[in-house]
Amino acid sequence: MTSKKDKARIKAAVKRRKRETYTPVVPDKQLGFVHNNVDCIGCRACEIACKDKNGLAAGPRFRRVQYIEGGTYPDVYAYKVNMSCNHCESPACLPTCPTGAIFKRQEDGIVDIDSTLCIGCRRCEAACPFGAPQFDPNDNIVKKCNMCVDEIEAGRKPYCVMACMMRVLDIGSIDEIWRGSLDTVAVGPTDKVSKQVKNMANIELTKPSIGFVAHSKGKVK
Amino acid sequence: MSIEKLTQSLKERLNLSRRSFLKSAAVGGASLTAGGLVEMKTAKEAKAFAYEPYPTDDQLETVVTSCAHNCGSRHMLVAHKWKDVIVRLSTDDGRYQRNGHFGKDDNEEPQLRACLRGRSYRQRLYSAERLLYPMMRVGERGEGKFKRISWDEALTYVASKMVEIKDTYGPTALVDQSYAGASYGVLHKSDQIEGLLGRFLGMFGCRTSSWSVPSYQGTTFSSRMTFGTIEDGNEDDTFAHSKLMIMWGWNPAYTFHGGNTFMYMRMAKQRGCKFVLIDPQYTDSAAAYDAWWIPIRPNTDAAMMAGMAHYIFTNDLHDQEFIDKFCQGMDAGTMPDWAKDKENFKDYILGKYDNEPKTPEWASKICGVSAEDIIKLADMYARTKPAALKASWAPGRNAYGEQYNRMAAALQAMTGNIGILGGCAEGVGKAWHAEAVAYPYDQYSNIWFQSIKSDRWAHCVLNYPNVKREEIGLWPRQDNTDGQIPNIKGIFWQGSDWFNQLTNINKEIEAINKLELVVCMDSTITPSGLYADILLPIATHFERHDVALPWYKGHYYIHRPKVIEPMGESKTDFQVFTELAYRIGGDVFGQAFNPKANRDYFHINDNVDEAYLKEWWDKKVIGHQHVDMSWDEFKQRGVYKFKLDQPHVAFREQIENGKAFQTPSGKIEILASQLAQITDWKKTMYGYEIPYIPKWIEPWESLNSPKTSEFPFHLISPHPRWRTHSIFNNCSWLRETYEQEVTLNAADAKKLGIRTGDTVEIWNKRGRVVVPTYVTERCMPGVAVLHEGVWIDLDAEGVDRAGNPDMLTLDEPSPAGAFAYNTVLCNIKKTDLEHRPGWDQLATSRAHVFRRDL
Amino acid sequence: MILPIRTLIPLLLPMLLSIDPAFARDIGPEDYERSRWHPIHFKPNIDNAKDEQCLSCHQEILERKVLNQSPAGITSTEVLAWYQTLSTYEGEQETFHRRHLVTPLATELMDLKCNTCHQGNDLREEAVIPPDHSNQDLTLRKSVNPDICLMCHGANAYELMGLPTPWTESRKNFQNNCLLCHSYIRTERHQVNYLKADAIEAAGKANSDVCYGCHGGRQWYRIAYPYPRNPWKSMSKVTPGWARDRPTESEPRFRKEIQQAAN
Repeated sequence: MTSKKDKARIKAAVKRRKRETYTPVVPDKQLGFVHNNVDCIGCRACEIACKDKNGLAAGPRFRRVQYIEGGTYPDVYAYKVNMSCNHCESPACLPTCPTGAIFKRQEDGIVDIDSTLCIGCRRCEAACPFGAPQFDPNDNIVKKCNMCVDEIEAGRKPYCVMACMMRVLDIGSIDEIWRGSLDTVAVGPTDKVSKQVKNMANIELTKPSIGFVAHSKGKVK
Repeated sequence: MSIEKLTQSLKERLNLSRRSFLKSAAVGGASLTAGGLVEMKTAKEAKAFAYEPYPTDDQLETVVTSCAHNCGSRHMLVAHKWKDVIVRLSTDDGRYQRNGHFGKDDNEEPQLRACLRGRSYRQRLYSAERLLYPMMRVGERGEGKFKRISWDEALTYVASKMVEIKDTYGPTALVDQSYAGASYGVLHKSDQIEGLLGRFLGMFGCRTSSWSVPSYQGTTFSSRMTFGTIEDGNEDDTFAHSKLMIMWGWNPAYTFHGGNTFMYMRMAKQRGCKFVLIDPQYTDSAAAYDAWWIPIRPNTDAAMMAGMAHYIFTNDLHDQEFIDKFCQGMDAGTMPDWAKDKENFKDYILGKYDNEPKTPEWASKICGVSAEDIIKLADMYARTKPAALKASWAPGRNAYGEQYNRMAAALQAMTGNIGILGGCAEGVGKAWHAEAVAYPYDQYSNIWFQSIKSDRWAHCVLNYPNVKREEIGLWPRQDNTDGQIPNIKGIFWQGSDWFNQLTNINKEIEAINKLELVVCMDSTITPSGLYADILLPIATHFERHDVALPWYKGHYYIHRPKVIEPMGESKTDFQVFTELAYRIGGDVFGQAFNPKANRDYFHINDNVDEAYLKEWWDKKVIGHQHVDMSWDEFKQRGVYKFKLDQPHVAFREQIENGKAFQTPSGKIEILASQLAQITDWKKTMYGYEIPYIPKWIEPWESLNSPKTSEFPFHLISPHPRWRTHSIFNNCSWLRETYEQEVTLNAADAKKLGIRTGDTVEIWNKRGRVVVPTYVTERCMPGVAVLHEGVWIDLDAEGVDRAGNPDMLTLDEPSPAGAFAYNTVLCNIKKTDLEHRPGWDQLATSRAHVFRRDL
Repeated sequence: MILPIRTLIPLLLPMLLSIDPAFARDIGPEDYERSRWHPIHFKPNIDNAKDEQCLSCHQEILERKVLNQSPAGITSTEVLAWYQTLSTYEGEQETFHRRHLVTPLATELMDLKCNTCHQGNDLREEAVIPPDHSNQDLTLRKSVNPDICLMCHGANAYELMGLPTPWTESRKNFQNNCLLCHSYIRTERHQVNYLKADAIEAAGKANSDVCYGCHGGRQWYRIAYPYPRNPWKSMSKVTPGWARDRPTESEPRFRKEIQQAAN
């Protein structure tokens, strides 16, 4: 957060923008989320924990548990896909921002936002293939998940992860998540982690840092 | 429309509409509306919900507390506060218990992570609907017009009315409708048996008690008759050991039954346990555990179970050794001598008495499940060891619902799945007896002068004195007042919203206008509160000192300090009753009611509450439960988690070591001794005959009854995930996660020309509601699902535009006392009437309201 | 019996939605709940929705402007996104929708309709399969499929064009002139109903930064859009490997004749 008096920071943010081409930050380590689509009961405790922590009114939802169902009675199925910001390798929100409010952290690849710099043009919201940036009509600015950087810096995990009653949401090094080597109960002993699930945007657009245990009906080739 | 107008309307819809239009309402008239008092709210809210400035946890004070409502579990909440404002909540992360550290979350001491409701508490705490001052009704009942009055005026009025009513109408004139809704702790408790109100009214000498439990009276009856106790529950970690888990009407993904049950079930799945769901809906639990879904017609569960029993008996798959050793009345060989002429369960199933063998084919015609599937399930259940048949409460909330629970117990017993790890004898499912009472529980507790089935109060009021005792389930008394019909003239609601939650609301509306005193004690305005004469603002569990105990499962205590000072002029209910006691009966009543307090307790309660809690901890927790943690250390840590030597399995002692069951015979009573010996049913609290062995009894309405020609849908009203009954209905965060809507099968909807999002009317002869529709393949044809607890919102014609199913339910309980919430036929059609999603209209919730481009 | 809270609602209702009367009749101006589920929000009706119909409720997308100053005091006039340093960028900071629909460059070169991008989405955010009235192609949670955005905001596939380095580095060698090559190669372009092909040609001729502005300049996405290969006059008979799977014409709803027929 930046206060009005913090002119130096404002200038630095503006300077960040004044480049002809946008060069993505290559972080020292990339953190990402992992979610088990099958074992998730869809309770949305993670969503509420997030709203409570971020002091949000009804409206913006940084984290969204999406319900998917299908089949024909009585042969039906259902599963959940849970996303907030995917802290992409190449975030599409970032280059759209005219004020430098959005930035990717060098140390852990978290795509953070300083909403006090936002002028509410909502381009990031449109550019994100996953719906992560959330417009807050009360403040007329965009806000989004920053993986609770304050908690991460204190050596803990984000509120959503610590809220998960089923322990099916976690964070870790995205490479370890994809390799299946992360020490987490979110992924069961026989589960495989995939980068993409059905009905999700093409991950080549931004290379989202997220892994899923996909439902059999939610798998993509 | 201009941008200003639209932005304005958007803002109003999003967040502020209720407040802003109440503001304009308050200007216009002298009296405030029910919600008008929120205008006097402090500036606290702004800080409580600020996106920025953003303090980190180490800049805030951390206080361990817990959630408090009547949900089926109890979890830790950790308040992070700045001065006297709770800025955010977190939950157990392993740090707070003894030898804890961040991330500690093992199977022995799992974290007690709060659910979505618990996480949304701040919205309730700081809600526009908080009651902050005593209020007195100035309009008609239900109209919602109140004026602010002082505590002195309020208590003077209540005390004088109480005395007047008691003097005029006698000791049964005040009905106690306190319930565990909003007030659950060891010290500040609302409850029919252990509650403060029962003690207060009982000592005052004027109390009609309400004895049946809305959620699970059929189940309670069954557990008591069969096992002699409601402590038939396993601790939640035992569920990890089952090889087969039959979730009968059970949706732990919604009801979070137990602190971590759902998590241990996931563990079972990973170990290869197979799951089955018997339910009209393919629930989120079925999805998460990849269950075999068997859709069943509502209120026909006992028939299907009888069909299973038939298959098991006739194929010799039952555990005869177990039956012979532990059961009474399962078959001819286990009949007690005194009952040789009575029916036994096996011969009933085989059709010996009525020439109707309860074959899977017979059952199939009733319950709609194919005989093939009944056989397949029966075979699986009989052959898989250990197997857990978790017979949930919902199918018991029916006409003759107790027969379903009794039948389930018979299946559990005949397969020998009782008392073993991985099996299940639940029913009620209470697994651990906590030391639950920190205030005096003595000769003055739970005194009542009559006690009725809880959902019969309106019937009693409307028909007095022409009421037969069996109609209202009058509990027998041992004195000459036995059988006297209570002359109810007043109601006390303490931490309960029963007006909104009991059956047949239209009948309640008719009845409440005949009363002379209606007192509502709660932290927020509720639909019940709108019908009250006096609203008393009660401090929430964040604003008073207490200790939380688990809700039937889990073995831990969580300290619940006074996190912030009570908002507005709110007081604890213990303070209110103590003050009323002093006002009505002087020092004698005051000190007897609250022995540790003085006359000034109404203003200063900290030391007295501390003294009660410390005494409770030292005497009961340390004394009886051998806890090796001092009260001071407990307060400092905030939580004590017990470690058990082995997973707690109900009746392990009985099965392994031959200890007697708590029934008259000391056995599992498939034939209930107590029932078999009743001769005059009218003189029992049941009023009508109940078979002494489990039997299939045709309910008064179901998809099999002729009434379906007029009312072709069976309405069920399960517990929602986004409310605890009616509590939290006003929280916009939670209303972003759901909509009050009726769930219909896709084929049914197509026939009616209804698509998702269409607004429909649901009606029967008792009432009418308006809700949007959710069309899905996940619901059985012929069934409509409408979740209970939404706050009623009636139009001029008495149509509930919010969609509360209890406008349609029948206030006629099953003989054993089970509320027949799920025994309801109705019809459905598209409507032009407008649905009202909430009192404020703001958060119809969910993303689409606010999202993008509006 | 009426709850007084309810009686106040009608006071608010007139401002909730202001709707084109002809269109609004079947929505009912008072019923926000119901209007959410109006068939125009779903296929097939959304394909025939006129912008005026959409804007009768959603006019706010054009009326709302950016803040003059962010909460921390950044003024909108002093900020620039990196792509806005291109010579083609002019004007104030604008909101996303205005930038696509009403700013001078947008009206000069483009002819976007609401339903060019918005193809309807399930308001439940739940992908129901098989869909009741939701679009199976929809991407979880987004009201617009990002592939639509990709048509303009994808990467500049310089390798496929035979350029040695990205355009920003190569352009010196090509006089910063796209038409140096593209007067002969892939001359059948922009023949879609949401673009003004002739205006684009004219603008591109005047300043190649206009071309680059879309084809890589405003690149948010890592990948390039696989544009259909409408055959051009001097097109080689041999299709290069990377183009073998590409269609030879645009997807039907974007073809020019479709729009003409609709008009």
